[in-house]
Amino acid sequence: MEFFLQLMLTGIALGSGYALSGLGFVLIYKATGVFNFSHGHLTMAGAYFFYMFQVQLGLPPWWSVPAAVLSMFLVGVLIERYCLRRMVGESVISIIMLTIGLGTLIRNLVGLIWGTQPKAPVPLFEPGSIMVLGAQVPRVYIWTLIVATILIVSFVIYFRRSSQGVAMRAVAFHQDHASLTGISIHRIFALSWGLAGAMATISGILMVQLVGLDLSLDARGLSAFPAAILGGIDSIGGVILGGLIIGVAESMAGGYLDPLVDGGSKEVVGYIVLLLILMVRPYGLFGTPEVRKV
Amino acid sequence: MSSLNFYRNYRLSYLEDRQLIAGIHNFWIRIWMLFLVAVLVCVPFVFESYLVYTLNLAAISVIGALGLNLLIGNTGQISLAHASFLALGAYTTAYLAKLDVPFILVIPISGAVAAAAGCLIALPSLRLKGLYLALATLSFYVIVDFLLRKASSLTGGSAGTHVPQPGIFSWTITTDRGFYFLILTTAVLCAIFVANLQRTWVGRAMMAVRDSDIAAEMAGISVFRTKLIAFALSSFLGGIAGSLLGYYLQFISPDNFSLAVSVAYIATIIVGGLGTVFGSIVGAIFMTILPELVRVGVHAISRIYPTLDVQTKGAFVEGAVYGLVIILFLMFKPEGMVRYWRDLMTYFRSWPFGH
Repeated sequence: MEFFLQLMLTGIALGSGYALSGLGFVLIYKATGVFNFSHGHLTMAGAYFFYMFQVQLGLPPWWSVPAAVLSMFLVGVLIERYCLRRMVGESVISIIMLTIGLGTLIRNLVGLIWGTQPKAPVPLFEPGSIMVLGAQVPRVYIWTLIVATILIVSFVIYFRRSSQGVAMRAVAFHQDHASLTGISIHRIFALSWGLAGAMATISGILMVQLVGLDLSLDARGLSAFPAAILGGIDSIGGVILGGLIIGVAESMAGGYLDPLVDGGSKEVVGYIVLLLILMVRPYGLFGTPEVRKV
Repeated sequence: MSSLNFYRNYRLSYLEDRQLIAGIHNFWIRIWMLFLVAVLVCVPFVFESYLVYTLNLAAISVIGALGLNLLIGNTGQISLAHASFLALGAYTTAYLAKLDVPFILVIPISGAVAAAAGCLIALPSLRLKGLYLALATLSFYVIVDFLLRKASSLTGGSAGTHVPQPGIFSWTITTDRGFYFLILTTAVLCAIFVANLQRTWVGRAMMAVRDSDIAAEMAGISVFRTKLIAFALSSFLGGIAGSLLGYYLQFISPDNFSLAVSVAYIATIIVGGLGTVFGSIVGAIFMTILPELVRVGVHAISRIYPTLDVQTKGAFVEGAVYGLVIILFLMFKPEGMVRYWRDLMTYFRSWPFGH
């Protein structure tokens, strides 16, 4: 029971990281209609930027967080400006393949610059573990959960209440109408990509605290796909729940399945859950079914 | 003059529309075709084995690209699982070749196993479109990769497994030259098969589904069946490519069939041209030569800046170039290299009155 509880709590913490990462591409999808396959690679690039500022440029550990977030915001804006803006009106397949190409490019550039060796950034949170309901949980997981919750809540408030958030939702609802009311579509697109890059970076930094930093981090970032799809790609509540489900499923698989198949089931279980959900509900748990008229 | 006419985007008569190879009735086209066949037959006797090796890999990726192009280019169904179909073909080949089954049987059986898996992934995917389909195929890829690594009694696990040389009775193919003729013959057969398929009702149904599945359904085409056929044929060709690759490399491991392979095949058909046989061939040749060019470039850079240590990171340079090629072609030349060929032909045809 204690083991179960421990797995549950670590799973929820991991899942909150996924939810944060998943929010990034729900944002891009909602605002610009692009499904960003390079999101996992943005997560990884953000984590490496963090490492660069913290270790290679020697910034204080906490100052490198905003530095990495800001630089990835810029990267997001640049990607929108120079790649995606040219693709407006192209077919879904072309845009998906463009983001796949983008992901390949980012991954290999990161590999080219930082190499394949695992890196060791300074941990942001103090090590050790505390007792929660009789289960030993590492402190890092608790902090991850807290930080992710704060960020998710503030993002939801920003998206619902601020004028930029309202503008984003207006663009998502109808681009022409939004543009007629004086909203600059291009600025909203660029802002969404920048914010998504920033959120990918934060979730990347959190994941580095949990699992360390090497080139396999993009696979972690990709785990946010199942999270986003599971909840429905256009639903913010859905992606949070989806992230938690995937996190708990991975953690459970790591605890109970891995001893049976000697390791590796963690990476697969999210995708198995995703495939099952897609078979039953092709639009995710809370997604809006696409109504097609002839 | 008229020999340059053959690459038109449109047809003038039903006779032209029925032709397997455009313009085959033209005398000069036939001469050029014979010349091409003669060159292809002579290549392994004239050139060194490294070129033959490169050509073999190119021909294998032509087969794989034909399969993926059938699915993405002709039917409009995106797939990230093409590497898994290659892997299934290659592992089936490894298993059967160890039992001394002649290669004439092994290659089609490997294709059939991959096709069966293709139908399996198609069934849940038939309701899905666009990005959901991409994600379902991505899940399939992850699951197959996991199974290949874990079922070590069958596949050798992450360490990989040995593939015996292709043989039939007492005769085995061992040289690059022998492989050249085996692979080239298979590739030509596959290309003719796909070209022919595009003339039949199945091929037309695929294009109808790509352009508008509702309209296709209204016209009496079973969308379900068409997608299923497309998945089966695509993975069949992928399985054949994997089988030949396994035979040729003689050693396979899951690392030979990573997600990067799927991406490379997508890049191939985008660069070549979606939905055309010619595009698959051109794209596969270009994408096989590209790493060689990158290698030469990396070598040159590392000689000028020895401190940069690019040499050891060659694989990353290669991957980055792949990504860049996908992005640039999608942004600036979505029709692929086929378009360059057409523009060139138009230029010559309308010379000196080009517009």
